[in-house]
Amino acid sequence: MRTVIAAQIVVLLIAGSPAPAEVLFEEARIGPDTTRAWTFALPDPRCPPVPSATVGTRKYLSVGNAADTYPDLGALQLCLRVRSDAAALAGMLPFMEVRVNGQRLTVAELIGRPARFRTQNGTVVAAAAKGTRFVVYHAPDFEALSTTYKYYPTDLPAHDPFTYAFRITAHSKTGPNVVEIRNTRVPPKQNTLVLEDARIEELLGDDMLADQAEMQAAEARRYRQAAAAISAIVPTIIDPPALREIIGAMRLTNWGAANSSPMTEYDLPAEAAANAARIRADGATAAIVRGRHFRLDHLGETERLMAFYKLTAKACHDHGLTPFAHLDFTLFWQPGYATIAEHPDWPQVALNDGTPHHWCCTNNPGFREAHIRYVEQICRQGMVGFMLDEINFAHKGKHYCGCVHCRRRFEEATGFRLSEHDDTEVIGNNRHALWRLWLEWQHASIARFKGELVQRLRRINPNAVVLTYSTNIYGPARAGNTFEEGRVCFSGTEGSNCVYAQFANLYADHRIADAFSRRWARPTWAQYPTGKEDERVWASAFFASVVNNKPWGWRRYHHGENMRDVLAWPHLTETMIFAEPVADLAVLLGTPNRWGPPLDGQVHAAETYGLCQALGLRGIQFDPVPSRHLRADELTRFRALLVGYAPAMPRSTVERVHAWVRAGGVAVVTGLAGRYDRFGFALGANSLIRQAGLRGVVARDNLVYHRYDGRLEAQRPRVIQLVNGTMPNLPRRLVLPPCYRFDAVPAAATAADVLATFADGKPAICSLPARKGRYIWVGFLPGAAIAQRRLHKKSVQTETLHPVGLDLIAALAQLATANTDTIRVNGQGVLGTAWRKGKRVWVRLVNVAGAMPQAGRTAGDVPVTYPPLDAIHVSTRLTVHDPVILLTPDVAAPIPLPVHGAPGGHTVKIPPGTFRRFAVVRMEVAP
Amino acid sequence: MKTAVLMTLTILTVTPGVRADGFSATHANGFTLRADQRVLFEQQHPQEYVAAQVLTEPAGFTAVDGNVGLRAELAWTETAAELTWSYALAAPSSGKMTIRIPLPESATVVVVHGTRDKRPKTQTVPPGQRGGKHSFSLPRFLTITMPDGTGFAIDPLPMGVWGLTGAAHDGQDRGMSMALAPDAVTLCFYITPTYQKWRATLRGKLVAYAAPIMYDSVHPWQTANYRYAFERVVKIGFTTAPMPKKAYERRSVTDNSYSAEQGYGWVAGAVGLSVQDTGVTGQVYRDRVEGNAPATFRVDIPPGHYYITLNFGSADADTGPLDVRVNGKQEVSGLRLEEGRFRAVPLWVTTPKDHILVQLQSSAGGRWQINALTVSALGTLNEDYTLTRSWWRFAASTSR
Repeated sequence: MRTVIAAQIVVLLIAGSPAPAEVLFEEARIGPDTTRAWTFALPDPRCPPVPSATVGTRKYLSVGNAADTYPDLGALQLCLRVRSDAAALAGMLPFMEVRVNGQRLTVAELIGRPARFRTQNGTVVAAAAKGTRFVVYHAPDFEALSTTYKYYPTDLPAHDPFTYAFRITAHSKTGPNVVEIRNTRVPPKQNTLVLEDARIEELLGDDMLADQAEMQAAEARRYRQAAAAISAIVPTIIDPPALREIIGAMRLTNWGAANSSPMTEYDLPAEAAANAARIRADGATAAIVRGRHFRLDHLGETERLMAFYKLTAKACHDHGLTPFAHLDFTLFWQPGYATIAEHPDWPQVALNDGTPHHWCCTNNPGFREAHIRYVEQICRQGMVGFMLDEINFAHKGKHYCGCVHCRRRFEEATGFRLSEHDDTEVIGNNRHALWRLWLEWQHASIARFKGELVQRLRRINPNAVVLTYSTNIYGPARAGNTFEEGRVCFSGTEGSNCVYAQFANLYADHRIADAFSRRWARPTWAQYPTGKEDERVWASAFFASVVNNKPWGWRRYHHGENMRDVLAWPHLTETMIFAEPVADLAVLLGTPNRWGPPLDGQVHAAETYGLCQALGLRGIQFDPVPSRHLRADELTRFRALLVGYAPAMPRSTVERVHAWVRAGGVAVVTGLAGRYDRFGFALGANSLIRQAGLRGVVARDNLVYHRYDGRLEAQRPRVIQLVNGTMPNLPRRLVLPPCYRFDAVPAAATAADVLATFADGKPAICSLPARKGRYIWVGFLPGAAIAQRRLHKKSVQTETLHPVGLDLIAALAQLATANTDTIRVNGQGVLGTAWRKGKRVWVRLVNVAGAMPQAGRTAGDVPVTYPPLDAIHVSTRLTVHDPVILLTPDVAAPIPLPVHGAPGGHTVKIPPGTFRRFAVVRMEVAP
Repeated sequence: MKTAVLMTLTILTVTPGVRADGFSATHANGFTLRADQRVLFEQQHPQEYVAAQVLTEPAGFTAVDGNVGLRAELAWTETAAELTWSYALAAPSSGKMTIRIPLPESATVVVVHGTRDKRPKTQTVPPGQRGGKHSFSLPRFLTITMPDGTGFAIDPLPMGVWGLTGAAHDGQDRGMSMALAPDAVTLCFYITPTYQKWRATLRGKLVAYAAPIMYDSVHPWQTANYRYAFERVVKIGFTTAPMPKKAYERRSVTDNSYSAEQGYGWVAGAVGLSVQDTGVTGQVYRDRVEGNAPATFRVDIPPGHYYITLNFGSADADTGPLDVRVNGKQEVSGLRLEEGRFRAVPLWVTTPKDHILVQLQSSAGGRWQINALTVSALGTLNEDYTLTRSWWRFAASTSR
């Protein structure tokens, strides 16, 4: 029978800043089948307990799951020493269970000792049976063990098996907390647990990381060198001018049917010519030929398919269309066995057990060459663009590819060897530096293959181009990095068949995609496969223009008449010109977070998306800047920078951001940023936290992500009070939508100005000076609080894009830029973006007033509507020639708009009702 | 005007199991197949082929009209009749080929259905409960059983889950449906509507069994998912770890002799085997079995195509050099790994027998080791129309 001893009450008072260790008990003895309990109290408001429903389930990413996030910094620790009172040295038994507030501690919460260790006689010992029953050494006392003792622990710290320390932050709460320790032996077994020196310790996480960073500095340097070596294996391919024109003006549509087609559509010369003529007449500039998709299954038909390509390519060229081919050469089914049986080494194999997939590996030299030769054959038929699917690594069920070629190439490139056995500590563990290095190498190896393919194709046609794409632009991902492939490819996204109802999500998505691609001097493209005619117009012409991308999903002759007027509009091509954004504000893309712990990756993505969405809806011009390749001078064209919750940043990026701030820039950081480098090594004194003048940042909420719904949970309502004079356009008291809170702890030497406080008086926003510039540190995540998530037709809209959050983010941006934007769009219900090419600037405006989310509405039911718009004001500090011209497909003739002088610049007013759907304000500006 | 080509009534007496069945067929713009005079199915071509010729083949018939792209054949073996078709359809290619399966009043119908990327669903419809109309989007198998235990089965996806390409519109998988009515089941094969605006070739294959066999007996591997690997159907770990409770987990084997009940084990050389801890954790590599003398491990498996993956290595000791023969064929020669190194060796194996034999031996008089063995199923030979059998039973030249 279980006996519970009455709790001994020990109260610890732990303040917000670190407190010295407090003793829970000095010595305790617990007999078999007995539990003893102690209580300590935390008066400080801190994280509530992790919602237990979010732990140990696929449904959630949660701070309660070790694999989902960075290691708990152990800010709150339970430390104790433990032995069994057996008189003789006689090995060990797993019989200690520990609970905090009823939640059983697991081996994943151990600090400073591995889950398994080895003893002198070679035995490998699990630290805990079933992950929760911890091993207790039989020992007469706590004296150091003899090195000749056969159970001497050879690889525990200090060879000390008695000392345990657990992270308990995630299980603790404000107020009384209960620690229970149980001896799970059952009488007549008489082993008594002997415990001593039990204490609760609190440390500031960033202090701990500073020590860790110093210890790991050499290892982190090795990883940085390996990353540089990886980057060097991928070429950066420059497109010839003719190709730049082709993809810069691309409006892509389908030649015929989809991937399952037998490629018999319009396969007679007259039919092909008529089809090409119709497509061109509808305004498309490129046509994509699909069918017989998994080509390894159809190699027997190669001759017929090549003839089809030749016929189609000729028809396209004859009518001014660029022909693209879409196929897959990596996956196979039974019809492909005829090929694979001759090359059984082509399939990818799982990293943990070597079992094959039906997906071939592009690092296999034989397959690589076969793939390239097949595409070369198509290129010789006159096809120009190649959209090639699944040149990637399989990523469902297990991790791929562990073939001898992948392993050898990784080792050659980096000097590291990936675990060759089923090593769960590394394989698939986004917290492990070696796994993150492996992912980076995988991405580079794919880009390298595509680069080689492009170079081979350009020997046949100098304008050949390879397209690459992904649905997942910026969320955590196991598979490839589409936009790293942008170094060699024309990158894009499959988009969504639900565009209008999730315009804000796709706005951020496509602005980010555009930014990645522009880095390599190319536009991006997006597929808009919506079945609704009015949505197709909205997406392919208007929205695509606003986000600067090249649409796939252009109108076909058999579609309705909805797009006719837009197609006939003489300014269509001009309004879709590929251009550079006009922006004073950068949004830093913390790309390495995509490959780190997935929970932090999701929060980073939500925060970044929310920031972009708010800026878009409030007309503030910005440019997303990928951090991974941030050049030393890249930030100089910006006045301000937004960094949304980015725990991982390359060390060089932290250095460049800080140098730019010291030179006069203003960086707005939400939550925390730059605590770790791209591989998860603590940056310590070199972290952005410390560089900004903070001693540390403490999370005050549990991050939780609902994987099935794609939304964050456990955010809590907050009220902040703005200091007088700060962001004067906002009310002094702001009731924020539910958000995650982080407390910044300034370093003693930092002269921090508090700009806003939480209800408990702690800083919610503070200004941290850094030589000529400053950091504005925001203690909550406003972007994640308002972000519109990805929706599908059946998704139900929730409360997003909250106006208080939108206004606050806009105000933060204005605070950072000192309200001196080069261009600003002031208007409700529009997305307005400014783009420049040479002496022309275009402000592209699309009506989204009918698409604002309404909680409870099904996304697929949202009709495209164009509610009347109020007046819109475009203010600019550019020198503009009067008048500016407004172009809209709603009105046949261009509309001149007068330019009014305003303090520091000019304003252009667009009166209410000037346009209904979409408009472009064209300005001629001084160079 | 429809011209029916007169058939020569051909009856072939066969003996499936303990009973004697005889297939016979007639053709009237589609084959009607009978077994013991019971109609198994009535086929209707997607359009009328007025000039079709029906040719008698060694064990079956071919209906052909090269001018309009008709080729259909009905071929039989001792236990099954196989219907294969190919129709060139002009645009719009909306024609449907139907198979009507008359249901005796007292028959129980078992339908296995559902998309290939998941486990199929099974629905049993007892006699008297066929009221209303049941329809199934992807029928995989149909078993019709009479109260006396006789009956028949129709397999509309005889090439198994891996047998079609992953994106095919041309008349099977996505272009297939089934409706169950009180008196009959009707299978329908068509070009999926999205593609019907162009000309197309409707092609496919169906097998009828003259006994009420069940889906599992013909198709043991039932999932083919775009994103996932081949199903791992046998997983052996040579380890002293306790046998996992769940059947899908890796089986723990040391020196266990083969037993038909288990379906795996050592058939030679088990004496003297020892198991070593390799110094790592994990299900695959943590232990390994080691021997001096050659030893042979048997895995029972239906005749088919497989990848067999062998795992070797230790953190604490060298491996090999060793040789591996699979079904008598030398597949690995002189494999040697230094301490701390591990290696997985996947091998394509086509086995015509109901088992695979893996023979391990040292190649230099020392000891051999193996950590684990995994068999991934690509399909049975019964499902294979690519490597060991052709799609058409009768040569095109014969069919003229």
